[in-house]
Amino acid sequence: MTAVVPEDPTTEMSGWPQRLRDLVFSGKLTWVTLGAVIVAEFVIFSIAAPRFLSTTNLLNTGRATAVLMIVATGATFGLISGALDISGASVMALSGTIGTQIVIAGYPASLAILAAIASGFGAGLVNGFVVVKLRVNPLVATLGMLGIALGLAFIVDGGSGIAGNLRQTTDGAYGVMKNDLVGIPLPLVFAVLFAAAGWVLLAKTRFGLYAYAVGGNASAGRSVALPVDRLRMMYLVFSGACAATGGWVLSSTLGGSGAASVPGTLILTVVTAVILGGVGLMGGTGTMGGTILGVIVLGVLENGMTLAGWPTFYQYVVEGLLLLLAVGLEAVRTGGYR
Amino acid sequence: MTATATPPGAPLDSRAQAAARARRLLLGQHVLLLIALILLGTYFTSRLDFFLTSQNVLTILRFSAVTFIVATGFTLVLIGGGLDLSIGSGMAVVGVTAGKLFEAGVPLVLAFVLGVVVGVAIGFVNGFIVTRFRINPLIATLAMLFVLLGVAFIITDGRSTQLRDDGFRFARENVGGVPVPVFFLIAVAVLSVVLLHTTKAGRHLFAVGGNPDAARQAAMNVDRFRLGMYTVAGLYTGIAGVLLASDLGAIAPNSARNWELYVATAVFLGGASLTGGRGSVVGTFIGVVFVSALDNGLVQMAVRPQIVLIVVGAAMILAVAFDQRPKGGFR
Repeated sequence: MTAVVPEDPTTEMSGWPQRLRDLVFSGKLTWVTLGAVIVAEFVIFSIAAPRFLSTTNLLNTGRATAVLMIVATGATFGLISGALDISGASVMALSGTIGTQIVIAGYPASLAILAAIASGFGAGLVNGFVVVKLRVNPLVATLGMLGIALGLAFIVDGGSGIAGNLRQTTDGAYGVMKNDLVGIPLPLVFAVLFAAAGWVLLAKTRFGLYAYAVGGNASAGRSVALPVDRLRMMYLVFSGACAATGGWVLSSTLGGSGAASVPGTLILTVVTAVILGGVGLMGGTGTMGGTILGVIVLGVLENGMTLAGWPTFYQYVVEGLLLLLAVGLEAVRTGGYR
Repeated sequence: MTATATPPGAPLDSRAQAAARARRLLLGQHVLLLIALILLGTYFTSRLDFFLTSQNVLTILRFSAVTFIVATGFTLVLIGGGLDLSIGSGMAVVGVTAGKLFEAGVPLVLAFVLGVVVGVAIGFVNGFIVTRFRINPLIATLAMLFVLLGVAFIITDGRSTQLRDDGFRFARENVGGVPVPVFFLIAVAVLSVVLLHTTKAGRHLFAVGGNPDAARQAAMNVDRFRLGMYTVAGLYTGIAGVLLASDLGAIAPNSARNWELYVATAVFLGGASLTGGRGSVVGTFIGVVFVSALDNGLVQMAVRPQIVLIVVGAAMILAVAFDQRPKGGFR
């Protein structure tokens, strides 16, 4: 996003410091930096883990990152509109669990997929209602939903946290994401299409434009008669639906899932990807292109660290630090928290 | 807390003001919460024979103590206009540090003290990140939640181990029939009330959180207050982490997962505000007892723990909605 360069008469700079400063403030640096980080990751991991650069592994990385891309698309719309939706991981768990249990109960896969994604609509509607009608800060609203959706997921799967009778769900259309399309994992194909649709939706339609308007300056939006509340609700519903779609894709890839199949830390990865990609915490700024790069950075990182033999918990530390770095950079750009 | 102090020189209470004050007192969040707690207790007592036995009440208090200590830190940070989501992971790091040190042969008391010191350091780091790097506290402490969780797992190599040592498990003892953690609860409560209401720094903290710009205009060093409050919160995280490890008698990196949700619910129920400048130790205490009693009663009624998760999540949303209502809330 093009941020306005603040007028600062006290510092007269010329030559490269000024150019560096302009670059930092323009936001183009985000894309350049992320590109450089991805290249660096490829160099480091191909040295640290010889198998990293094989086609099989790269396709596996794509398969594993697909879910992150789908959920991050929704979170991008949410955060641009001013709502940090942290209920994503729980909504994914709920969606996958509902879908799985419907298949196990013997209903057709199409119904299961519909119901799974509908659960995300439901969660998003409740989030939106709480934010718009009860006037609760979106962070708290979605933190509450984080508990509620996870609790519901455990109830749906009978408290076990796992899928139940896995074998039945591996067959049929519900588990379609286990397959490949001309050698490319289907989740990857789906995620690429999903992200592309998200890009068009955000950059080329009114739905996208209004997200910037609502998130950037809600009262200005109200004064030009934008239905701010209804729009806020729509973005939270969209975010919930994306999370639920990601939940179904994960569930489908696994061949059925339970409440414990989605790691709660996934939401950190989503938030980190979106903020790394340059979506401002305060809303009103960000692009899908940035989010896609952020997702690639994290997807490659997770895969590379795993291949290099680092346990999962090292990834928490690295991702947490990356998030701090991302927000730190944003703070430099915007003046930060005061 | 009634934040509206009468300005000096204003006319003394008229009848309308007295009525307003009475209404504030009666409909204040403490009182409503207390009434809710009594209703909840009555309901559980009618359904469960042993809910109101002294043994069960002491159990509830024992579980409340650790939550209350860390929740008080959370309250201080909220009053100062911050937020700390890293408390659960911080407690885990403190607990596994103390446990590992003790396992390695460090004397018991020293191990516990070093654990608390680690907690203080964590709080300081949180404050440092927020004030120096100007990172929004929500994201800064969300990131710290995962960094610290990772650190706790790294320290323990991802494993949980039991520590069967009566000295280490001192938090399970009773002194004069009262569980040891309750004494810590009292100490932390007294210290916090004294800090908040008798010192100048404590009173200024409300100003810093309520309106940081105005506080800066009044020549307060807002950053130093924030650094201080995160450090004190870290101290409480340290004490709570040590007590939890002792109570569990285990080195468990996963011990305080999802505590953020419970603590935030208790504190928001107790009347602290997400927008800073408001909150009280007494309110937080009632909030913590409410959540602990709810948890205790529901579990004893053989309600699934997942339903408790749902109830707690919903309670938090309602608490914040109720709190934000008069001020217009999120716009």
